[in-house]
Amino acid sequence: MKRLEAIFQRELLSYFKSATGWVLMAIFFGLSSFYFSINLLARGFFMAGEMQFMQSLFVMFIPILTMKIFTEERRNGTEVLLYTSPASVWEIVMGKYLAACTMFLLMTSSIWLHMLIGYLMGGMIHPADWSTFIAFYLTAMAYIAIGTFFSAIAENQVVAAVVSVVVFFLFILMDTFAQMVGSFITTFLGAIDFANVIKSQGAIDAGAAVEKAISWLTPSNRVAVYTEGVFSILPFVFLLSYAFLFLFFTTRAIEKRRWTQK
Amino acid sequence: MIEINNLVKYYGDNKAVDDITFRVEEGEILGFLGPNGAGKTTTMNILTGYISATSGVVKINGYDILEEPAEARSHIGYLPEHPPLYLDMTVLEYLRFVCNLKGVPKHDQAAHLSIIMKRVWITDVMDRLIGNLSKGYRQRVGLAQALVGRPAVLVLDEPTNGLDPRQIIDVRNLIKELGKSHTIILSSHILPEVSAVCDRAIIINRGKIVNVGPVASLSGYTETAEDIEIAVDAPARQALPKLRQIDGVKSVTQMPAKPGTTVAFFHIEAVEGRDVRRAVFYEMSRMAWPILAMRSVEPTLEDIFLRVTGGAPASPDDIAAAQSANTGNA
Repeated sequence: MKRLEAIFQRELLSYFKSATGWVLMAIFFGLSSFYFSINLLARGFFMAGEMQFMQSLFVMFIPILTMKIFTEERRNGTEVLLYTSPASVWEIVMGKYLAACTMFLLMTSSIWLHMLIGYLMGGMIHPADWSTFIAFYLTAMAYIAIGTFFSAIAENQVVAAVVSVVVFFLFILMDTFAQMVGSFITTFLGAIDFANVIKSQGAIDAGAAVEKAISWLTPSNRVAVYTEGVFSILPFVFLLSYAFLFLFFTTRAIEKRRWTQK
Repeated sequence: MIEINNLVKYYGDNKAVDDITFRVEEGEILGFLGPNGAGKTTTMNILTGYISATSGVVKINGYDILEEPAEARSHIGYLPEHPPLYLDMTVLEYLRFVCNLKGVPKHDQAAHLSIIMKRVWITDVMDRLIGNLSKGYRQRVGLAQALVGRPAVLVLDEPTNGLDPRQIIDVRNLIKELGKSHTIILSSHILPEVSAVCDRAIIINRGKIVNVGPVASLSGYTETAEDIEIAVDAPARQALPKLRQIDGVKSVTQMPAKPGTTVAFFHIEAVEGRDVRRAVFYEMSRMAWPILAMRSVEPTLEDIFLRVTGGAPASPDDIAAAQSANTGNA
């Protein structure tokens, strides 16, 4: 635990020792405050809207947050220190992951600030705002885990960032993609069914099922109910498992690198 | 203390380490000698648990590096070829981080670090960013990092790399002193370094151990002056046959001289076991040709490989490696 703490501390400080932490914070503060003020003028105090807007920018923020996590250690040769220390791979990965999550928490502190300002000025904080808040952070945690994983397998930080952006972008397009695959399956089943064995409703159902399955995998879709002010435990577990799964992959990727060096 | 059995490491199809077995006893300083690419760094990376071996067993203090990695690693201080430094931290911040990583208790850290920093002479730079330090200082911060946590075993991969001559001597003395309380494995491609510091040396080439023995057996190669180079103020054409006539001289080759001077340079190879320096001196003085410079030529690692392997023909790669090793920072 002490080792995890040491790694966590160093990692969190490194965001602020380089420009990364400050720049991320500045951009996030700038964009969210801009949205907050525009929103205030146009329709009043509406936190859920701001968070949803900022969440759509994860595709840009989180890769910058996570791209350096392991690639930088490899480039500087400092990974030798970590991997030959008594710390386990899990301690290393968790320390770094939690540092990135904390950095994200600090970076998004403008949202709390806006909430506070709105509240002090007599605005109402709806239950939906709170559940959107939870959805916002849960989604971020899953995304950060994915970004961490790509940082562990990519050769350098540019590759890590680009791959993460592409994957997060796919998540945004996932619903469209799911619809495409679904309707393709429906059409395909209809086309090959010369003997009319499958009822037309059956083909449509099959397509819909596939569509549902694909969009089920999209992290942000799972917490969509939260934005309606509904708190359910299933998306919560789903996103935490998502994060855990990718952290597990990360430890495997690191172990594998040490076993199969070319 | 350190036990290595039948270690094999493949990089793809390339066998980097080929069935290495050796032991290091407690309190011993073992030199690991070989040209670049011989497998020294790979072996050290494996025995510190950084990378895995294809097959074979490594035990540190009785703990298997794969079975009980945390236990085994807590006994090792490792200075890799490139010191693992975070350039954005100050020296003190960095060493504190290493302390926490290696589990040195908080209340003990200040005293522990001040002793280490004094030992490797970095107390005066402790508040500076590592990124702004010179290579020599970085190397010493790397050494300090290896000493954190009082590990019983020190693994040092070319510890004097990048230091100036004065610092090299200091670091060698430091290693000798550390040898009293630590078991040390030290790699080098510089022959005199190993014979100056180590009790025992392992010579490795192309992943294989070619010779193991006390360094005294190595110093036999380094201290005889069988090959010498001289600069004589004499007409080269006349001097050459005179030199060849001297008893004990096996061959003489003339080396290129600076145009426009009367100074001639010769490389003289003596018959094995003979010291021809005096004979050369008297012969030249008899002819009234002043000797301006005379130096013995230290054998390269390649020469030693040839001797210990019984004169196996060397590939051009090997010779290049041995030469670069010899002209390196000796």
